[in-house]
Amino acid sequence: MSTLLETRKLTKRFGGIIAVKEVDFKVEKGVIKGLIGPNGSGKTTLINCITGVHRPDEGRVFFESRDITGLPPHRVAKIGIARTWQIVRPFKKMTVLEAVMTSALIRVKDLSVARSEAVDVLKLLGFTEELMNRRGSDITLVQHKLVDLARAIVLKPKLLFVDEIAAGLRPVEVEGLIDLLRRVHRELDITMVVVEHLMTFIMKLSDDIAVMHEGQLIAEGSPEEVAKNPRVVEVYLGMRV
Amino acid sequence: MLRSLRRREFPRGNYLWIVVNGFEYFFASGFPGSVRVFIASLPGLSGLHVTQKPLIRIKDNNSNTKTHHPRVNTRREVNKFKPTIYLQLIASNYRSVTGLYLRLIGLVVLLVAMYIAFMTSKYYLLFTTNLVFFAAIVLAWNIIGGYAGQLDLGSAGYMGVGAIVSSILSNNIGLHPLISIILGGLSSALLAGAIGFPMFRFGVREVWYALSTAAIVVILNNAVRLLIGPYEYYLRVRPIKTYDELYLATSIALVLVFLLNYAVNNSRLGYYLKAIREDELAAEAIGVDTRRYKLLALMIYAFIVGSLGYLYVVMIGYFYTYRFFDTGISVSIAILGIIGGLGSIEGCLVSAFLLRGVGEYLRTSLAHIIPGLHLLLYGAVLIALGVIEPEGIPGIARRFTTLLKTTKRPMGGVK
Repeated sequence: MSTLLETRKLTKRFGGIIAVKEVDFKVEKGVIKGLIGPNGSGKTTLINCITGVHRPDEGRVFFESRDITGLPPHRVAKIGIARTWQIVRPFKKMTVLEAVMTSALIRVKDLSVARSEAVDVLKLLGFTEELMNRRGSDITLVQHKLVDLARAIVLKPKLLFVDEIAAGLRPVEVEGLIDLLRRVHRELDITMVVVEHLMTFIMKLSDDIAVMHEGQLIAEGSPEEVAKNPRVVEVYLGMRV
Repeated sequence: MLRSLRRREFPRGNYLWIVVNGFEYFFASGFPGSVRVFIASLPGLSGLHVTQKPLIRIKDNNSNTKTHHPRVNTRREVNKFKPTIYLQLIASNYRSVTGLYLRLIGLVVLLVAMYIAFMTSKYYLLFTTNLVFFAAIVLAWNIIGGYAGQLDLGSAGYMGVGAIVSSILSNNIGLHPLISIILGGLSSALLAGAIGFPMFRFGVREVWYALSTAAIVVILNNAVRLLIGPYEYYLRVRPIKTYDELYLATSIALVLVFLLNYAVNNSRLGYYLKAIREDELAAEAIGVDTRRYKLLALMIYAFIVGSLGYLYVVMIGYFYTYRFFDTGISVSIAILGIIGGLGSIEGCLVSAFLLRGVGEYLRTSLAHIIPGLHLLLYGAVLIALGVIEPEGIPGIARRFTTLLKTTKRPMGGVK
């Protein structure tokens, strides 16, 4: 397996706080990689640094052995790194279909081709025709998250960051999401990094897990290994009193 | 019955369709054209369905959506007999070509009808020209303000620059008026590019963008006054001689701007701009070069407004002055665009015609009684609109449609 994404000593500070500290993060091609850690451990900041939302203070980011450090988000997206947002960023005055079409239009130039591609992706995610024509202001949180996901996967990225997609959802919905993400991974052949602080979600989904704590990677390995790692148990679940 | 209606594949395009007691009346043709076109041209309103039958609504959802909204179950609802007439308005298909033709014909019919109604009176004809002119400006503003979502308060600046440049070129240098109009528009677009590039580069947005653009008008006002002095320069070259010609020229301009809006709306640029309006960072993350497309939208808008400047010069009596750079004009245009619904072509037309019409009516009927009363009332109308429906005219239309369409809709249910 070849390395798709690699960060070398990536550091990001906000004022006096070091949000991400010398992180060496690697993603192999074709896997679902889990990235976990307690709230505030720097998971989202790490993604933001990779996708160009933040400019890292130190360190470099390599994608397919190409240095992409500090590229603006739209360039990163075109290179093949897509993402979803922890807090949904809906296009409220556009219909679901239009929102996903906008994304498809980045890759294809023709409106009707873009429309059919958007419809295909939305169907894969279980949207009915009626739902596709609803405006962003008229759909539920789960649907927003799925639209967000659809906007990302219609770009046909090589790497997809899924940022806390299960946050705020009910257990039934979370189960559905796990199946859905697996299907997207399998059918569209997208390497994924799934960020989450729900342990069960990540354990079921990922092949490989990295654990962050206070801006640093503290463990990496298969779900079983990580679950047994005493350091992870300590920082993640808290010490036994 | 409603169930069968909902299941039906509605034909694309616009039509008036009425069902009374189970009998359907389909007015795709044969209905008086102008009425049909008028109805078809209203936002979100292109089919009309009237029934007096008891309504049975059956909802089922057997597609594979249970993963993300398990709450929606098979649901059966029987509404009680309602003796009132039930109206259903079917959302129009904006993308259909027939829709464009019908809207275009509707616009032309409206323009011709206004001309026929007002051609006998010079005052009314000039006033109508004014309405048409500002409708064109509002539609141009729609590109930057409506689609791209940038609250631009600089329209008077771009219009003024275009007006003065094209006036000088046609009057003093002797270029053909059409060429000078295009050059006037280009100079505005260049100015917009020079202003917009650093603004978007350094992330000036939202209120700060609005303030900066308003400031540009003030700066231009002072700069031009220093440059040409506080005089009114009358033009000798006057290609448009009568009010009728002016009305024709302005109408052609409006139709062109309308078509351009339609083209932007149905292009990649339109989709990108709308995504930028909705969420700039999200648009950026799917690969939209937000800076570039905002700048493009700004320059297209400045070009149109700059080209329209010459018509403004003609309309006020063939002179130009530094007083063109008036923030009041920019603000009133932005208001019309916002009430027009930010991105709705029909909404912009309706708001420009209706609100400027109301404003002028108030002025002529009230201003001589108590000076300023008309402005007070106009302001009250604007505030009322803003409070009742922040989404403006399309919001009112949509509210109207959903009100008529739904008798009882469960939360989270399928339409």
